Amino acid sequence: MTEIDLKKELQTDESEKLLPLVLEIIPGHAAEGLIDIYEPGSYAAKSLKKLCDKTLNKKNLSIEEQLIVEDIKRQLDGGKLLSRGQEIEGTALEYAVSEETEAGEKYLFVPIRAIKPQEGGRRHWIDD
Amino acid sequence: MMRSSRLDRQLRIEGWNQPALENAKIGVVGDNDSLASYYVMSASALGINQVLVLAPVLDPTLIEIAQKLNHRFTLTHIEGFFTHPVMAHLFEDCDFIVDLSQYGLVNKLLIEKGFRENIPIIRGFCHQTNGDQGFKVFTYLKGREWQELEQVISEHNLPNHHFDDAVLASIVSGIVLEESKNLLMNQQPSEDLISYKRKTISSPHGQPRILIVGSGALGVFVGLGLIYSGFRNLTFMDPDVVEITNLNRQVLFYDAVGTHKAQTLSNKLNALFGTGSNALVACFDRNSDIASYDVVFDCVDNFESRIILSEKSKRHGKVLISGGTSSDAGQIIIYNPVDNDVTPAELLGLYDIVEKRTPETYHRERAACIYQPDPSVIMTNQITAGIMVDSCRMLIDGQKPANVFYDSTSSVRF
Repeated sequence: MTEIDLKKELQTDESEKLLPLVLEIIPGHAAEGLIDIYEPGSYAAKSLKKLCDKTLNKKNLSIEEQLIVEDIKRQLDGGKLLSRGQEIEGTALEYAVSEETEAGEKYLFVPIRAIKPQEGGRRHWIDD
Repeated sequence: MMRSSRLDRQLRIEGWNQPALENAKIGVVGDNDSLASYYVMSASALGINQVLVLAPVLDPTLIEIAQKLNHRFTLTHIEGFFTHPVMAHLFEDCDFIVDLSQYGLVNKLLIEKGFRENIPIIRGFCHQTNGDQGFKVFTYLKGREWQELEQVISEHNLPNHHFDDAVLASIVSGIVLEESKNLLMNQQPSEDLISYKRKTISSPHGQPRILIVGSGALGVFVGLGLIYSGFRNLTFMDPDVVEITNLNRQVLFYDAVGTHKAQTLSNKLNALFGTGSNALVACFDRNSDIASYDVVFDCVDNFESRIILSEKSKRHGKVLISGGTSSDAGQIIIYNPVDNDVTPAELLGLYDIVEKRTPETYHRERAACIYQPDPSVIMTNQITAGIMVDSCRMLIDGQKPANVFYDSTSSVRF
């Protein structure tokens, strides 16, 4: 998808602000991430970073979700949360694309990846 | 001893099975382009010793490198096209077949052979259609008679004139080699069709002045890619000398252990391609001057230098294409001052990482530790370098390349 195409998709109109927001935080390039759903009115005024923090600090996670959070935290040890290869600044609406379920229910989707930068061949020293 | 030193950086990867590579025999079907030659060179660097290629031609430069890198490497080259089912017997004792051709007849014959004899077929090719250029890779195993197969059959049944691009070929060969390694080491090959696509690069690119900082594995493949793309005004910068452990991925240094990387890389490229590139045997630091360059490639191996490169590129308004790799992943971050993007150092949060590495903690850790170099292989380096060069071509063509985070273990590669 080109940048221009992406911008078109990223433009959300007023009616879409009434849609639920699905946030998925994915560890690295894993196929699945931690999914959180925010109801309309609960996310528009908050920064995307804050929503991510809230999602990552959720309690009562299933075993699978706990494993994903552990993976995310491993990536964030020296890594960052990025959306489509870009820094996350501003509100979720600036990063959301409109999608719909098979049943035709519309929602806004924001994919976030926890990415650890690759340094290269730097030499490390490890415990003997 | 020489062999284990040359392969040291990949032997350090957990679960790595070098004998599986060394004892394998791989069949390759190529075309009259550079793709099969790139694959042969990279396979030799990885320590694969036996390759049988059926192709009308091979690139003599890349094949010479393959033979000089690995003294146990044996190439059997049968000149011609695969035009009859009986030719499949050529590959009877091969572990699997790599199909890098551009004609549908062989694509179908090989998949049929794979199905009938339960032999994996790795298919990779570059394509140009409807204003787009890109590539596709798919690993066929018996049972994977999926819809994806329709996408990997060439449009023309017989050998024909087709799209060829050395930079995309370098990326494809890296991905196909990753799939080869996975098959030989009993690791899971990708279940997905791996594809990459961008708009066709149309305009001639002129001769921007390009500085490549770092002449290791990324620098070598960036240099090759730029020269194959027609760029001539290149300067390589690196203070280091070639070590034997570099030779599993820094493919142009097979006879240059102990020499300065930047000078050797420049000399080799000039000798092989008749170019006039320059070298600076120096470390990139806060005193380095980038004012006279139009584009800077960041191919260094440490975050500290990446921060300086980011800051200098921002201050001087230079395009910066930053690449970093590990043994199974890579990242490409583009800084274009025209778009006022954040720099690679800012985007990746390198300031925070480096801040935690104060000299005191570094020395304290070092006192109680042993030396541990990072594992590294050829594939992620050639893939990352290829995308870096392709991003440069896109920028010059007026396109906006995206930042890429490549992970060889994931179904989502680009």
